Amino acid sequence: MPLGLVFRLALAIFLDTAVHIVWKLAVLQLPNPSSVAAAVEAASREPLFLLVAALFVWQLVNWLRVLESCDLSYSQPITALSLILVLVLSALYLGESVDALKVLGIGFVFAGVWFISRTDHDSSARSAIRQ
Amino acid sequence: MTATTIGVLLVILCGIIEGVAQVFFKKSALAPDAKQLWIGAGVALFILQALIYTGALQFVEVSTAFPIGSIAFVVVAILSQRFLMERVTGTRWIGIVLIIAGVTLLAAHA
Repeated sequence: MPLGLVFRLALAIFLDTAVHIVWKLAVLQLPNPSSVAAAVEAASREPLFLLVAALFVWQLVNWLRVLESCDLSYSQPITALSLILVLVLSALYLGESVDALKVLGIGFVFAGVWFISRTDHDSSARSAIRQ
Repeated sequence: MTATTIGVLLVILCGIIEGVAQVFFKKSALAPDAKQLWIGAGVALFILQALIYTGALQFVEVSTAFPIGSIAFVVVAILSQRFLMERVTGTRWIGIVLIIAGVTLLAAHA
């Protein structure tokens, strides 16, 4: 596998994880809002939400570059490793709970993503029809 | 209804919204005449989803919310079969069942 692709896949996992951890951190900074409008107003003044938005854009740009280099069915299960990273980092830095049932549930979801990604798709057939 | 239950339901709603948005993006690729319309609708749904997810994270742990959001895969499979006439293979159905089992486990345990 080209070194550049390894780097972009690792970056995709990192960014996916970072978005969710920072998002939770941002939400923890919000006061208890009295209404939806108050919540949106409070969120607009929280710099961590700007960081979430920036990470989202970076994530999108990097993901499109990943898809230029390899199949979705190959990259998606690899980047689903962020499910495990979020579990570990949220336990370490946010003090969230980790137990057997949660690990089992995440394991099922991870396996599900893997099976879905193994499915053949007909992009090549469509391309052939267009040509 | 507890705050955690509300949070879990909001995350599931986010997954459904994301699934619909993904179908809209696919529609944009299939219908060049209405491309901007479908993309605009998809982006609007993503913004709505972000707002709801922010609310959900106030009630539920991110290590629970993030995997539950994978319900979007299930929504995409069902909607793409129904509205995009895509074929959902047996392997994909196995994946869907596994995701539903995982989400159910996480939601019940939250």
